[in-house]
Amino acid sequence: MLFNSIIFFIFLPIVFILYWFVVNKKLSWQNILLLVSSYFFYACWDWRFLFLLVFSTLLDYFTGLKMADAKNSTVKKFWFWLSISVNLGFLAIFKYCNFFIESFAEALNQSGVQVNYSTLNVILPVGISFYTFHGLSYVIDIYNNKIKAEKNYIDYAVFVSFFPLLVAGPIERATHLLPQIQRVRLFNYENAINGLKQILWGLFKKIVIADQCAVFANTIFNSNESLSGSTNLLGALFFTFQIYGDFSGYSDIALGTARLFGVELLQNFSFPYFSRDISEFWRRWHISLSTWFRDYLYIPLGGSKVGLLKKIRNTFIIFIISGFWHGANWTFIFWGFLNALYIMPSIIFKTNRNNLNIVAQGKILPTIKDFLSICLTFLLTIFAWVFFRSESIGFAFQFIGKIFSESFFDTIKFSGFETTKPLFVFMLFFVLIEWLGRESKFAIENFTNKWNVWIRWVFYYCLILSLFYFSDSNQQFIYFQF
Amino acid sequence: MKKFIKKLVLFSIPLFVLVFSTELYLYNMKTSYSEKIDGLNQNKDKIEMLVLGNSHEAYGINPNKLDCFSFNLAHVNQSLYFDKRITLKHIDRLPNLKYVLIGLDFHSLYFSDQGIRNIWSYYSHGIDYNNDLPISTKYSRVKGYTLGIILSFFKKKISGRYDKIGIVDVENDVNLNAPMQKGWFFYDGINSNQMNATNYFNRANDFNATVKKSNVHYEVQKDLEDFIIILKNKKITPILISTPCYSEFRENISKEFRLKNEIIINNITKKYNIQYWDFFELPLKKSYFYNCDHLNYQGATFFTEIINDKLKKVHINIKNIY
Repeated sequence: MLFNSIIFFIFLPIVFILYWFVVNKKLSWQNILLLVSSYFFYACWDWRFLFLLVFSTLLDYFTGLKMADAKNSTVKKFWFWLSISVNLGFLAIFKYCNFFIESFAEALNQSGVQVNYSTLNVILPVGISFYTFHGLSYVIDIYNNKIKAEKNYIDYAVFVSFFPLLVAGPIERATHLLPQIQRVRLFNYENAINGLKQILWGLFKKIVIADQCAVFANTIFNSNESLSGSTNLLGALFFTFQIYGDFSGYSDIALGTARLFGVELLQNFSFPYFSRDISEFWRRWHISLSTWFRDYLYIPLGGSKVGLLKKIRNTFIIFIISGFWHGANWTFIFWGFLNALYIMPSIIFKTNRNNLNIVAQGKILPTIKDFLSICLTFLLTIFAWVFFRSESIGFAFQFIGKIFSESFFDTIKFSGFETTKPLFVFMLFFVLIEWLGRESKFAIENFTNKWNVWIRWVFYYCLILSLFYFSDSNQQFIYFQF
Repeated sequence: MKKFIKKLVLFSIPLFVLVFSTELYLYNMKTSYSEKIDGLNQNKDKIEMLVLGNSHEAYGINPNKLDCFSFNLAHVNQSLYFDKRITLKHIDRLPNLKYVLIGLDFHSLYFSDQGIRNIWSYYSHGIDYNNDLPISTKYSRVKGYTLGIILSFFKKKISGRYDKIGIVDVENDVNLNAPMQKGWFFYDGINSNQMNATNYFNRANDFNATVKKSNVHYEVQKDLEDFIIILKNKKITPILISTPCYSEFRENISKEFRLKNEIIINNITKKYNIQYWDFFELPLKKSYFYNCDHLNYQGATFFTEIINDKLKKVHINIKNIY
């Protein structure tokens, strides 16, 4: 079930009404409802993979209990590694197996050994990377004695499968979400209104910005060879907006939906395109994944409390694995590697924590220095996204090479260019609103509150009507494939 | 909770009213599509010939100049996929139908998707391209309009222009003052801005690119052959036709693609014993064209008279056969 589908907007009010009006008397009923709704939500995509989700949940639930009951560290270690191996094993089979087979066969072919190989005919289960990471964080936290094992299966299953975050995050932590599932949730008017506002803004990002940019990004990426350098750069810009609108839009809808049920999820994006350096960008982009890798990989490897060389090594490991997490393709690995390269100067010169505050806090405009830093960071990001979008590293280099060719100075022209004008207006509007709202959790959370109620409503009406108008393309969320 | 529900309902009412009234307004607005379907319904018992095709045939064939009672069902960007399905949708309600003139230009066999106009074919004929239209689109008229058109409804001057006949998304110089007769609307005069070498080159390039990139060629051809068979079984004569284009523009159309096209069409005509009237290279003076590939009123009228002469001969032959 897609967040931007009609069925979701039938499903959501039904669950909302049942949750607050029918099963509101008892917490356990509310949690059972959330679990059943979440499994239904997932089964709408492919019911067969529901078994995998349930199996993964049961595995982590029981290994959690077994670790808690373990009499010695050897037994505890056994259950810990069993859970880690099975979880990563599923990920390896469904997500990476074909990649390893193909890469291995290609390496042999390159060295002159001809091999015939066949790949597995498997579908990538939606959200496997997300719910696997939920489970892993739970098991690792129990192993490290940070949390106690959850005894109530329903509560634990809701933590793993809560439908707003099930298929594309944010990647939650048991320490943050489980306590919310275990305590009574009361309806809060302000929270619900904010939830609706966040859903609205998320849908705007997805339907108006991401899906419309996708049309032109696809056109340009598909026929980039015959287009000018300037047109290719525009294509990369469209994709830069597409990926942000798509993923942060999904996160906003997820967070807003969770708020309607009295649950506060982790913030996943914090206006990353206004970052002044790459370190800041990574503190603001896909925050739940970055912090996951920080806590469960970077810090165990020594984090920043080691020598410079090890710190550099750790940074590369984190970014390359993060890239690989996104997909089984060398382009994602290279994308991670490129971001590690980008971040290197700040690691070496220890400037990676220079920009911890919000840019131009309390002001309307940034300083010239901040503005130029934002532009430079944004430009670097655009080039990194080309690798993320491309089917192969060779294609990405060819695409970027085209941008830096003589044709960079040619006029922008591609099939459908004349129809991009309204999109540019929407993109400009989007950037403006994001800038104005950058001190909040999401762009339209606070600044519209100062407006007269009618102006505020007209603003929301305009957003809703634009959704209604652009709701045709119905493109899948990019992060579903991860 | 009560406050939340109350606010939500209050907020939704104006939105609902706005959306509903806009939809109702657009639903009742006459468009070139609704005019054509109304005309078809009014004349269903008289129609002897249907004209199908894209904008070349829609603007370029004036049914009022044909001796047999003809109706122009061609439309801008209309593909053979829709030509076939539109005809089959209405064929049983047209008892006197004898001929179907199928527009077959150099790119007709190479496209099938009409883009935004798929929606309009659904609104007017109920034909859903590959059963792919989202439900929200099927029941919403707003989806059929570009954002520019929607916004232009708020400007009195432009909405007045559309009120005349309500033709949606047609070019500026289409004459909206004249009533649509037998499904025909036309261009007035010549668009001198488009009659230059650069435009000929760019326009031809677009067509060449359509042919080059096409991956639907085989299914379109198969669909056309199936259409011909159905028509022949119903004792209706299909005639394939291509419309004239301006000479300097023609030179930019890929000769390779044209030759390939000709071979395919000749095979079809031989296989099914039907006629192909290729007027692509018909030498016409510049003043007959609105732009490089569309005839204006004068051009269409002149060209249709030529078709009429050819049709008379076919008619005599057909009479002898049946």
